Amino acid sequence: MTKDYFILHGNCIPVKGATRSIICDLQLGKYKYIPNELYDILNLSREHSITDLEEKFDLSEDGSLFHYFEALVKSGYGIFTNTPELFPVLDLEFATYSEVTNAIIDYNSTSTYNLISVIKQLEGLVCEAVQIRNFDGLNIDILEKISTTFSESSIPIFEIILKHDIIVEGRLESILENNSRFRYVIVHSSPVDKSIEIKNSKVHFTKKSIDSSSHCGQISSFFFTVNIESFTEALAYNSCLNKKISIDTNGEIKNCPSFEKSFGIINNTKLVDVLRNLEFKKVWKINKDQISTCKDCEFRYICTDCRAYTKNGGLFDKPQKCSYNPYIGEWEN
Amino acid sequence: MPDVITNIMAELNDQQFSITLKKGQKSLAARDINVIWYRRFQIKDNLNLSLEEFEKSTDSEIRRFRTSEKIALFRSLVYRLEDKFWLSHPDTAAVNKIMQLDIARKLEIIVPKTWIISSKEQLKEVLKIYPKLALKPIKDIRPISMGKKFFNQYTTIIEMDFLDHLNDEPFPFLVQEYISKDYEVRSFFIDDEFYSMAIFSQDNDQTTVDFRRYDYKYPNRNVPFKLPVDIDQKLKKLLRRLKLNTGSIDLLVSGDKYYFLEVNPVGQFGMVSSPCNYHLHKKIAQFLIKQDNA
Repeated sequence: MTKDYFILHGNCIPVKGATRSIICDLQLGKYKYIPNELYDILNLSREHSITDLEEKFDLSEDGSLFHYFEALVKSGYGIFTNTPELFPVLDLEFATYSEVTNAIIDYNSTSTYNLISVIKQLEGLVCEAVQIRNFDGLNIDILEKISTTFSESSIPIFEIILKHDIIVEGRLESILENNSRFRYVIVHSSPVDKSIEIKNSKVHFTKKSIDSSSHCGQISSFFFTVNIESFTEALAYNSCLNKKISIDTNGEIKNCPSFEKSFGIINNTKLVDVLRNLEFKKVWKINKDQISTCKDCEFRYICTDCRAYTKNGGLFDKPQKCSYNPYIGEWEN
Repeated sequence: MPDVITNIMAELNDQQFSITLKKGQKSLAARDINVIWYRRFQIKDNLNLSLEEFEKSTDSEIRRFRTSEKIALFRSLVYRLEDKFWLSHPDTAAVNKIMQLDIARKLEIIVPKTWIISSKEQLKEVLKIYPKLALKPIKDIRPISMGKKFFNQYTTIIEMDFLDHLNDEPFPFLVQEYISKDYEVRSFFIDDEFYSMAIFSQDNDQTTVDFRRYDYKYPNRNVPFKLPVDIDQKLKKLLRRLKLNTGSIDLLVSGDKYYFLEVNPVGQFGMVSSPCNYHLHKKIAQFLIKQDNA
């Protein structure tokens, strides 16, 4: 039986950039480059038969359109069918039940706020992931206290970045043996580079020094995430700041520790009250379509973002630490 | 987080029949419940016998007695909540595959030819005409543990050589004609709407017969699917006939034919919801809230 239509699978979404497009496979977590010409055709292929499309678009190079489609079927991105209307495109609405999904908590030796009470508040907000960052060394008793608090909490994902010291390294194994909720542990300023696994935790020791929050905001293809949740979130919201709450080393509650703007001191302000402040949620809505350069980039819905360190310092400028130029389709160094 | 009830207390006297569910300090009286989302009912059984006691023949009898007591308690709870809104009532949820197929057939829904086999000779006759058959349980899959091994009754293809493994009068089992399919469809029904997903499993030998034998390296393609209007209508009619207000329907699509396989009244919806981004958790919650306020 001949099939008159070609369609991309409903969870394979094409995204157009300035010079080329990609198809994001939100089920299998990968993407594929396609020429922009094909992007335009694919947008019509659910309503127009292959024959129709071949008439409308004269693809001089690379033979017929059919061969393009055949290659996409072979690589698993689409199918030939006679009933395209039965295979709708994925609903791209983003929804999550919790008001805050992730938190960054900076805690230094000079910090005076109560870290345990912060974790308890985040648990109450049904936060899914918490990252604690320490730049200048963490007292072992506090580390153990954090670990115990997390193992007793219902927060599923927990990461910690902390400065190396002999005592911490010595006790880390026994701490991780007792807490399977640490997903990542990064020990910076370490004498050696090494990666180990302890129970369910990945532990990376790095010689690099992470001495302040200014190390954040890296943009690279390494951090691309291709799945339904992050794609739909990036379509409508900021892919770094949406549903994020942060506390800097001084206990200031912020969207991101690297931001200037503070929404109060954690010692006398509840996180839930900050979340009621509409001003706080304003930056959540800055999606990539509003950011210069990013709005023309084919990676915009699978990429992370940074609003703290930007090219010209503007809130709507492209991230400073991004070296990709979508206008020539190349990473520049 | 769902609360697991730690106590069920019932009291029946001249004035009333009350049931109270408790967890720690929290308690919930049957009269205050409007809506029940029925999934499964379990009572943790702390029957803890020593190995010696366990091996005594009376043990299985003790277990049978306790099981029958558990069921009676469950029935009492259902009886007390009879006039409430149930998302899948336990009585209608208990309908088995062969009953469903017969009702579907009467509604002119295509179903695979189905036999229940209890003799070797009978199976031989069927295999002569249909050399490939799908073997599956009459009711549900029940994981059976034997020592450290687990056995699931996944759908299995049988052919003539299967007869070699059979005695003359085997324990009754169900077989269906093998349908060569283009793809499978799983449709979750809630609030008068189907949320469907097509599963392209035919390309993969491991999952061709039963997609639950997941292949993690080459996963099946799972995509949103919209039932053709006539199939949609017929299946809604079927659910009404089965008195189900929710359920998960399995279909096979072969050419322009839609074969109904079964409906699972307390089926999983997560496996449809997340690949298709249907947000079914939210839809179920909203539906229950709507009924609670009705």
